[in-house]
Amino acid sequence: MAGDVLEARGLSKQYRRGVWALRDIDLSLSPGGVVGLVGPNGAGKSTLLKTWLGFERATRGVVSVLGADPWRQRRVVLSQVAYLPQSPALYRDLRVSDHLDFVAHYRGAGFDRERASRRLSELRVPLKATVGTLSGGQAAQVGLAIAIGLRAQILLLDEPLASLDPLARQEFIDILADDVGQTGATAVLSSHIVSDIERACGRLVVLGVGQVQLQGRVADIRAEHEVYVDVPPPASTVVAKLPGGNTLCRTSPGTQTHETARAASLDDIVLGYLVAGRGLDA
Amino acid sequence: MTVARLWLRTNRRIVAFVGLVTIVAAVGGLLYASTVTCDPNLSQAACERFLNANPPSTAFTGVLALLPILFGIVLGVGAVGRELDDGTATFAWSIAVNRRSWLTERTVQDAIATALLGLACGAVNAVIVAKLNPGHDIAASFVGYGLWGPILIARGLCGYAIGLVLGALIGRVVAAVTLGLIVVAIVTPIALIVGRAFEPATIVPGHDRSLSDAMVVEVGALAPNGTFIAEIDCINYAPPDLTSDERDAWISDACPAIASYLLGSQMPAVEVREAAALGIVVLLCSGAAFAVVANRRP
Repeated sequence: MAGDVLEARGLSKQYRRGVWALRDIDLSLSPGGVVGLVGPNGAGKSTLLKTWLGFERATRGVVSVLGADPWRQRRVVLSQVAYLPQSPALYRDLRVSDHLDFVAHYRGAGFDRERASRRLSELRVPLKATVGTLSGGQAAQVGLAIAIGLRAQILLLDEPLASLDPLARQEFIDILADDVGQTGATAVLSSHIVSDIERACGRLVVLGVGQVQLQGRVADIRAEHEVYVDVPPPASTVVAKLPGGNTLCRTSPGTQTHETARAASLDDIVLGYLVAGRGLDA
Repeated sequence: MTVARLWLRTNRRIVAFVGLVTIVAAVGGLLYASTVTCDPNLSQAACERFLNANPPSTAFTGVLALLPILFGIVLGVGAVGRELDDGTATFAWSIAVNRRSWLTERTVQDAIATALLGLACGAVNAVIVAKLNPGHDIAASFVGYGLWGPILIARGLCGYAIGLVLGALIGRVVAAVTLGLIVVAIVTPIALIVGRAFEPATIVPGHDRSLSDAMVVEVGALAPNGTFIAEIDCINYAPPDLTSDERDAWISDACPAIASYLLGSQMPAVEVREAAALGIVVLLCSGAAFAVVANRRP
């Protein structure tokens, strides 16, 4: 769709050993805000992000970032995208300030070193510290500060919260939301921790077994789902049976629900769609 | 400036280690070469054989001759292979949007460092070799060939380029370094063969000790028809009805020992050709590495 910053149409990715990481993904993300990309390990989240980054080549389908093909126009795309992998792969022997120098050297005016330094100071990450001596959380903060300093239109964040403690996760989310709010950038935050996604993201994409199971605004998604407890739901609304025997159902907003139904939590919804996507009956 | 500083910080351990080994070998070799002396009763040739056969001199010059190659392989593998192995290529390639520029900067710095080491080791070894061979102008001699001089720079850069492409292809440091050592051990003798292949050899009867500046290309025998053959092949020319003793006597008379030499004055030409052969390897490997880096996933 015109104006979308990230697009995938019929995207499939097969690795050399024959494993399909993505199958016929159709996804369009409009600009602005934080989009949560949720899915279990092996769902294809990292592959999708790397395909948008031009680090992986699509086996089939079309991928575009700001209208450009990331594989063929990698330089154009990378200059507009900041990427933060799960374990920020920084140089262990270099200091934090060296990393800022490295980025400034290659990105020139495109990197706001002051902004990145300021973020790191706020997070009490010492600029003179060698990266190898930092905790996993601090290293992630360095990665985020660099990503923010790049002033990119798009931030692709691949499970950056996985190694952080709850306080560091909250700080990370606050900074990300603050930055995206200020700049109007679009961030895609992948995670398998639904509560983090709920706090950070206005939109949600659920990826399971290489396919998009659900996408939309978090508020809409929550409004459209409910959980039936103990009583059989109307068959036409059933999404999946949840572990424990309850049933996740999709309803139209405003529809009268059964008196034993309760509002579905985002955890229920994600779980339900992952179960449904696998074709399993929990 | 930033890139040079970051290069030094990234490679400070290997630079410190190689620098230390170089200094120890250089100081040791120079001290040894200036203190060891021959028995005054020995001839010059015997003295030089004594000096060159001394294990300490061989060890010092050998270490200095090998260091640029080993340093080159380690740096070459480190340029891309270590980035892939450590996962830092993901960070580097997402920041440096033009991978060719990124790799060019890396390789230029690495190549300068390797060349400087080759230059230093070559210069120190030239002094040591000259001291251990007082009767020779080593600039026009094959005495100590390959141990000193600019050929060490070419070999170092060859090791670097091989390490670079193997690191980029394999993405694993230990495997790439191991394979790099094997490939370099194959490529460098081939380059020497190429270096001397186009130089006309001088055939001289017997083993002429006066040609101590020369490099022996081939030792053999002169067949009765005037061709250069292996000594053992002379038996084919012997009359069939001779006894064993008669045949040996016939062979020593009919097929005098000869050898072909490259004269000392041909050394610079051989060195240039060997360096050119290594240069071609450098260009091929570097080009392949750039192609791999441009297209592979981090």
